[in-house]
Amino acid sequence: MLKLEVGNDFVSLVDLLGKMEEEKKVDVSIVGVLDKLIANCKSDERFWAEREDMPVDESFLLYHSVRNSRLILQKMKTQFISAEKNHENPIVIDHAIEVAPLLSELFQSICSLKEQAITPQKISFISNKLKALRNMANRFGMLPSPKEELTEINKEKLERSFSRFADTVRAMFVEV
Amino acid sequence: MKEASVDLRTPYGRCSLKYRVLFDTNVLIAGSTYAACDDLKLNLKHHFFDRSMGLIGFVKKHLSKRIGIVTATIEEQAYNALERAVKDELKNQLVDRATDFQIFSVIFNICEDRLRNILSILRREPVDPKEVSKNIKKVFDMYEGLTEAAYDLPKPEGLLTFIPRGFKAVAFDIFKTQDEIINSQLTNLLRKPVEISDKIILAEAIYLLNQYK
Repeated sequence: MLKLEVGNDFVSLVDLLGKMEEEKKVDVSIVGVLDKLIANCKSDERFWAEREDMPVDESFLLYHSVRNSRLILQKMKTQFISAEKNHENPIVIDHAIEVAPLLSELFQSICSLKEQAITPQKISFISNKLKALRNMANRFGMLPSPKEELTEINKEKLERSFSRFADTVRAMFVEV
Repeated sequence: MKEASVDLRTPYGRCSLKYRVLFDTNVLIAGSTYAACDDLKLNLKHHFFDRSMGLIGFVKKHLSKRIGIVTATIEEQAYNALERAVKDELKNQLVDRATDFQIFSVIFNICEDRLRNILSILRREPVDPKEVSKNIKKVFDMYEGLTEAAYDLPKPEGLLTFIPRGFKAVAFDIFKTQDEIINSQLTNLLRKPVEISDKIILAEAIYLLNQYK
């Protein structure tokens, strides 16, 4: 049921984008559709973070993928609001049309894993899809800047975690 | 690897160098592991970040010379290394899933963005799989030989035979330290065998070297 609803939201998004492309005009009702998808992502982020029955690396990758989907949807929303407000050339429609299918495919693949056994192959598939989505979103300025991401989190915890992460990365390659 | 020509100003005058630089994964990763934000007074980086950025900056400055090169295997290994480091950290240090997941998602994104930017100034070189596979055989043989040499290294205890009794303890410490310094690269092979992807990268590097010779 949930999968179907989310699928319908993405169908609404793609339909609306198609209509806007024909009319070459931003339809502000897209903000409502994006808000709904963003809310779905937030709920799924919590879902995967709370899956303590799963190996942590698997649940993290699914959380990370959904979080990135949300961040891209939020950027897309900001771009539509800005285009509508400033009466700009709605190039954002073309960009969103490029990104939406990848977003939809990734999000629905992750949703389907709620009811399926998760295998390393499926995790690898999701990881590759996410990389493709982020590359595409990056081309159209739909990724948050490092500053935007950093201001979201606790500085002290970040410093501790980043130092450990940098040491781990270093140990992977440096021969002592 | 030779080809591109770059004019350099040195203390001894101008000189022209012809070369290519094949970027290894560790340089890419060191240059990618960085997070800074003036507003938060934040400046976090890898131990070798500055050194890596010296090279990356040089390549960027001479972008038109196409100095920096990379292969698909190196790119993939770099992305995988970031992902593996995040997962290892979460496995070892996880306290609160919701908070830690968010923090590591941010770290992963920031480092991956930097990696993407660094890769954008490097040229991905095509490699001939047939030629590379010939080199792989040689690389495997070389490491096998080196591993055998590591097993055959004289042990510090064995060097004490002709040392007078009263000096054996001191001599042992000296031989042990000497052994650790001189033979560390060989003994590392026993502790941490070389990964297959590293052997493939070396085989690709040999192939590219032959191309540019």
